[in-house]
Amino acid sequence: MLAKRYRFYFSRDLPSCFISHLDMVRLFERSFRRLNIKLKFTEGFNPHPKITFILPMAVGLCSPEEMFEVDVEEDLDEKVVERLNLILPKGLKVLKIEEAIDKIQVSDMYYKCFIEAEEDFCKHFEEFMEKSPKIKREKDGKVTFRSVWDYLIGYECQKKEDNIELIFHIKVVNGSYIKPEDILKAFSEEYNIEYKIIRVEREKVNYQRVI
Amino acid sequence: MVVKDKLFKLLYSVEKPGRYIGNEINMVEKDPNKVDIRFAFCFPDIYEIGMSHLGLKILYHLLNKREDVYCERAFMPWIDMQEKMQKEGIKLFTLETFTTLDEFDIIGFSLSYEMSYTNVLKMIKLSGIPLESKNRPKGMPIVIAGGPCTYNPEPLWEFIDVFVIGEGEEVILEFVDLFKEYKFSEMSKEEFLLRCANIEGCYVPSFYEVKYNQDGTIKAIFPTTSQVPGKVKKRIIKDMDSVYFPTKMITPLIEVVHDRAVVEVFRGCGRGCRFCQAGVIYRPVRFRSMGKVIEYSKELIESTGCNELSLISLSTSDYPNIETLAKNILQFTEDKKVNISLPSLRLDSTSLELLKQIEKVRKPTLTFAPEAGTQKLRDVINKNIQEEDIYSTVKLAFERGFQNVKLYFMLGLPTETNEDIIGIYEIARNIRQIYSDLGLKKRVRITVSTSFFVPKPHTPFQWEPQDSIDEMKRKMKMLKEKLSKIKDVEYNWHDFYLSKLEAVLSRGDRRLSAVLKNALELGCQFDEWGEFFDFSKWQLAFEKANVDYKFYSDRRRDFDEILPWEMIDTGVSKEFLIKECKLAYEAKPTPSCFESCIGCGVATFKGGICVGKKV
Ligand code: SF4
Repeated sequence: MLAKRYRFYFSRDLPSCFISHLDMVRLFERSFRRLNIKLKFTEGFNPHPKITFILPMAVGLCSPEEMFEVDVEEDLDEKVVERLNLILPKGLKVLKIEEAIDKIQVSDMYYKCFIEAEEDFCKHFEEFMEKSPKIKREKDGKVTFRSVWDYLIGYECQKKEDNIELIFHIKVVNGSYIKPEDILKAFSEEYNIEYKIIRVEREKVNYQRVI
Repeated sequence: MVVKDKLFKLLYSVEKPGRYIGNEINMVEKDPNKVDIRFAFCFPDIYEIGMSHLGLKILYHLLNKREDVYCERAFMPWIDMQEKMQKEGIKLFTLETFTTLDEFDIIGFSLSYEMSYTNVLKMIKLSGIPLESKNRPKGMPIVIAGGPCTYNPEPLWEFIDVFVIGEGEEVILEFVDLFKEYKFSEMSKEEFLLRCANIEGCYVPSFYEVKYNQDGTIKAIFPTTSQVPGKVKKRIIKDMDSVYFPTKMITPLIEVVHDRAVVEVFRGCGRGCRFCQAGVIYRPVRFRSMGKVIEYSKELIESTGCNELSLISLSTSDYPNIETLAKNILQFTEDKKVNISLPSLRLDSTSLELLKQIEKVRKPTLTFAPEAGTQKLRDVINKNIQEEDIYSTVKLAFERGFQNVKLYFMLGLPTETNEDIIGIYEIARNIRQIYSDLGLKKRVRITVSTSFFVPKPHTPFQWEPQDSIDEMKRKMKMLKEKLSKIKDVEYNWHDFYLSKLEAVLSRGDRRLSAVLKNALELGCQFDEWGEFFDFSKWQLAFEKANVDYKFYSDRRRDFDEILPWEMIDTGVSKEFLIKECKLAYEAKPTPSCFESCIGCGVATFKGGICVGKKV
C-alpha cells in the first residue's frame, strides 16, 4: 500500500508542554491507533511509525504552532482534526492538516522566555551579548564551541511587571540552531547571575520550501 | 489553585517535570465540590514506578465509578522536587486537581515492597498531617493501606488507621460506604474504626495489643475488646470474570517502567515454591476466561492506543490453552502493530515456539529463574524446573539466533551448601558449552544474577534465619570467583544490606515503628534505590530505638513461637506451612494445585481451582 505523507499543525501549552520529544511521538502514535488510523510502519524487527517533528520540542516549550509529518496508509481529511482533539490531553490541539507534496525546512524562529531574576538582569545580559559569546557543546565526548551570533538575528530583553521577558530571533543554519536556554545558561555561568525560567514559548516558526 | 500556579513555575527547574502534571489519557475528571468523598490514592515511589502498577489503576477506576467519590493520585516526589516544594511551602498534592493531601477524606497507600516504608512516612509528612494515627482526630484524613506488605502490617501499625488485607476490590467499597456514614454523622473516630474492624479483611491495629517475653519474643497478641475478631481473614475475589476491570485505563504521557496495556489472565499461583510469599497470599488460582481476556485486550488497545499488550500472571504458562489465547489475540493485534508480551512464561520448546510467533524484539533474551544451582536444592524450595529442560531450550534458542541468556538464582536458601553454589556456576558453564558446541559465530552473553534469600511471613520458610552479612559476602565472592572463569558470563548480585533490611522489615513487629520514625528523621528515603540507601543511618535508627536488627533477620524461630503476623489469616493453615517446611528439609517436592490438591486450607474460600473451576 502506498503511503501518503501529511503535515499536522498543532499548538502546545500547559500542562502538556512538560513532556519530552519522545513522549510526543509516542502520544501521537497512540492517538492514531485509538482512532484506528493506519500509519505506515518501518519494515524490520522493531517496526515503528514514521512520525517526524520538523523541530523537536524541548521539555517545557510552549508554542502556538508546531508541525510534524506522518506517513499514513489511507486518505485523511479535515475531520481527523476534530477527532484527534477529542482525545488529546489538555494543552495539545491540532490546528489543521495538509498533505505534504513538497519539502519544507525551517528558516528562522522567534522565542519568548519569561524569567524571574534581579532588576539589572538585562543590563548584564546585554553586556554579555555584546562580547560575541560562545556556547559550549558536548556531544559524544567531543567539545565544540558555537558562536551565538552565527545563529542569532536579534534579541530583546525587557522588564515586564514582575518578570523579565526575553525575545530571541534565531536562524537555522545547515539544519542546526541554538536554544535560548543555552544562551541563558552560558550567560549565568559567566556572570554568576541566577535566574529562574518560568515559561518558554516558540512564538513563530518560519518555513522555507526546498526544491 | 494556588498550588497549581506555584507548581507550574517550578517545573522548569526539576528533572522530568512530566511526573507532576497529571493530565494523562483516561484520567478521571470530576468536580471535587460535587462528591461526598475525596480519596487520595498514594503510591510510595516515583510516578514512573507507581503508574506501572496494575493494582493502582484498577482501584483508581473502581472508586471513580462511584459518583459520590473522587479518587485522585499522588506519588512520591523526587528529591529535587521535594526541595523545591519545601522552599515554596507546597504540601504533597494530587495530580488530578493539585489539591494538597491534608484536604482529603481518605489517604490510601499501596504497599508493594517493604523498602518503601520510609517513603510512606515521608509522604504523610509532606502532606502536613501528623504521622501517628492517634494524633489525627476526626476531620483529618483517615490513612489506610493495602497491598502484599499488609500481610505483616505491624512495622507500620502506628501510622496507618486501617489495613486492608487481601484483594481490595470488594473491601474498599464497603469501607467507603462506612466512611460516608462516619463523615456525615456524629460518629466518633473510635466508633468508626471499631466498625471498620468488623468489615471482613480490615485490620485496625489500635484494637490489638502485643505482649512480649523477656527474650524479646512475643508472649501474646490479642484484641483489646471482644467487639473485634481475634483473627483478620484476607478477602479474595471469587470470580475473575465478574470482578470489575477498567478497560478505559489511565495511560501516562511520559515513559514509565512498564509502558503497556495489561490484562491479568489469572490470579494466584498453584506452584507452591516454598520461599514465595505471593504464592501463598494470592491463593487460590483463579482463571479469567479466555473470552474476557480477549474482550478486555481489545478494549484496552482501543482506549489506550498502547503498542504493547502484556498478559500477566504469576506463572503464565499455567494458563490453560495459552497458545490458543495468544493466537486469538494476534488476530487483532498484528494489524494494529501491537506487540504481545508474556512475562513469567516458563521457557521450554513449546513456549519458545509461541514467543517466536508473538514477540517481536530486537535482541531476543531468554530468561530462566532456576533459583537454585542443584536439583537437591530445587527440591528443597519446590521449584519444579529441570536442568535438562533449560539445556534443550537454550540449544534450540541459540539455533534460532538468541544471543542473550539471563539466569536468576537465590543465595542463602535453607540447607544450602557450597556444592549448591558451585551448581550455579555449572549451569552457566554448561550453557556456555552448548553455545561453543554449536559453533556459532555471533557473540553470546550470559548474565547470572543472584539475590539473597529473604524469609517472608506466611511462607513455609517464615521461621528460617537469613544468612549473616559475612556469610552473604563469602558466598557471593565464591560464586564471583568461579564465574569469572567462564567467557561471556556477567555476574550481578543484589546489595547485601538491602537484603538484610528487607528481611528485618518483612518479619518485623511493632517495635520497628520507632525505628522507622528514626530512619525518617535521619533522612532515609528511596531506600530501594540503592544510590540513597545508607545502612549506617539505619544502624543508627535501630540503636536509637534500642532494637537489635539481627533479632529479626538472623534468628531461627521455633514452630511454636508466636509470630508478629499471626492475627492475619491467609487461609493457608499453619499446619500446612510446618509440613511444607519439614518436607523442604527432606528435599521432597510437593505437587502443584494443578496436579492434585494438597489441602493447604485455602479451599475454605470456595474459589478458583480448589472448587474445580477451570477456564
Ligand atoms: S486448597 Fe488445594 S487446590 Fe486450593 S490452593 Fe490449596 S493446595 Fe491448591
